[in-house]
Amino acid sequence: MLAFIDLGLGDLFSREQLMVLLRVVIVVVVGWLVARLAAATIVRAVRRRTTQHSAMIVRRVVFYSLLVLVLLICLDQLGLQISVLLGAAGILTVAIGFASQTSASNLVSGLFLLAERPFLVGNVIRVDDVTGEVLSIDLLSVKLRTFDNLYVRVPNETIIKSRVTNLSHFPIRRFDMKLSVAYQEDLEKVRTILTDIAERNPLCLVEPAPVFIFLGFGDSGLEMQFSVWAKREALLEMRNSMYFEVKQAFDAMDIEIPFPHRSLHASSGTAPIPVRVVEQGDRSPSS
Amino acid sequence: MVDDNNGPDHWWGDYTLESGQTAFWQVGPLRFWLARSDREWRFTSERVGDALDETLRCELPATGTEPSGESSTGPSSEPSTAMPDAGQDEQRFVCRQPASRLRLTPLLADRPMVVSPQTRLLLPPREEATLYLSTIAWLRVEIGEPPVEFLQLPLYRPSDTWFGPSTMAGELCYALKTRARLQAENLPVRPHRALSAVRVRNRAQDSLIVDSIKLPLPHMSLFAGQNGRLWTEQVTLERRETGEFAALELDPRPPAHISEPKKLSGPRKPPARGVLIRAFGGLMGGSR
Repeated sequence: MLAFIDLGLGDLFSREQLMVLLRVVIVVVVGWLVARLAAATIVRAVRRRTTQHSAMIVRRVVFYSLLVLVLLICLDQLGLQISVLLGAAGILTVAIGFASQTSASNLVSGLFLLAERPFLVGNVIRVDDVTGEVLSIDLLSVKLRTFDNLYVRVPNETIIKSRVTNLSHFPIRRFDMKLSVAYQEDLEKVRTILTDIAERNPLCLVEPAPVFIFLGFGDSGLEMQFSVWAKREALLEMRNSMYFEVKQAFDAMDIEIPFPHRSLHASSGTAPIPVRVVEQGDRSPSS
Repeated sequence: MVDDNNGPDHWWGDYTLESGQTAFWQVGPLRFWLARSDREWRFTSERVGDALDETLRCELPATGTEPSGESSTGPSSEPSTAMPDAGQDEQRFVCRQPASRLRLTPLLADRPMVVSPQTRLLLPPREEATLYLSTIAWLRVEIGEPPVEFLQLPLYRPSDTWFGPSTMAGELCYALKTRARLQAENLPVRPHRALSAVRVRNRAQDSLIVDSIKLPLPHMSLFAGQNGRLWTEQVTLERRETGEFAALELDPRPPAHISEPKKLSGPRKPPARGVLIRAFGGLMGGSR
């Protein structure tokens, strides 16, 4: 095989140089495979004792450390001096810095994200108007899966600059149910009904206790907020069941849920608005 | 057909059902049916009562000369025990070999339960009292020989609650209100509830207000006493002279006055040794 290569590359490389190149290629290929295998083995060993997020960091650290080692071995094989390389790297860094400003920014942001840990793999987060489950936190971007099953890549720089809400951080969450009832309704009765519904619903937490807040006199009715807590995973189910039960209870107790009302008044300077009662079947156009 | 000594006062135990037969139970507020076909079991249930329901009914298919077993402490006009059509909660268990054996076992809850006396309870300084608190039991259905778990479900679904110093730190538990009686004899036997004797000692200089007590049910075992009453181990809670609470102690057995206790199920989780199990509530609301 070497004789064959000599036919094509003999003018450019000596036999020794070709051997060195071959060794470097073998080191790169074997080193890359070993790095992947070692990272996967270590992750498999620690997976049961750690979180998904920590396992991901361990895998990256092992993989990239071994790759750096492979790189150093390759440079040594090629006969390059590390000190000279570091000097050249300074100039190279400036050049790369200008050329890949965005990537470098994302890279540094990614390191901050890994260190700060505002969210973990598997958490549900909201970034700007995107809400989804964190699939991975990579060096350049965070990958999300939205609830309508879209794959969203958010650059790390955006995450660092934006307001990020982690919906999975605490095990319980509060749901603020906004309600309004007609003006003639008894607020104390409404409060009792709501409290009874929360007590009967097993998904509503007993502690922290539900909170009833009267918000004010709205355009169409009395406005209030009923805040109930649920465990994080049951929030959606609790929310739906609460709305169903409130509607059923209000219907059963004849409590009116108002819709927008408009009262029309004629001013003193104009004639009253003429009104005529239309009998059933009488559809003639009239005022 | 009941295989072991399954009298009318309890519902757990081993049963045998032939292909095509259906059995019915009502344990407190839960009615459930188990139907067997050749290589399949079907389970369906419905909730009919509240947490205080005392009904215990069991209708097993008649086989040979044995009459169908039935016991009831509920009202005389009982609803139909015919198996309803497949509902949303129906579950099927498929087995490779025909399996006629069925085992029903009561379990304790899968989370701690925060039990609150219906009225506030005050224990004076240097006093102690034994409170009888009842909690909800879970049903486990196992099929075949050796038994393979088919399902688990609560006989009554208690409300969720949070037990901790803030909404950021704490533990998700179940919540239940009880009378917290001082004599077990006063308590009616409810087939879906387990009784815990909780000895509370207040060695401090001031009174102890017991708003709620957290029972670490996943670390506790379940025993059968007389009359089909379910018991857990006895629990001891102590408030030291300094006002701090000592670690909760679990005695290995139910209260001494329970004759011939039979262990029905062990703890779901290994005992948390060396860990202070916070037992008194009010860390958010101030119960002491």
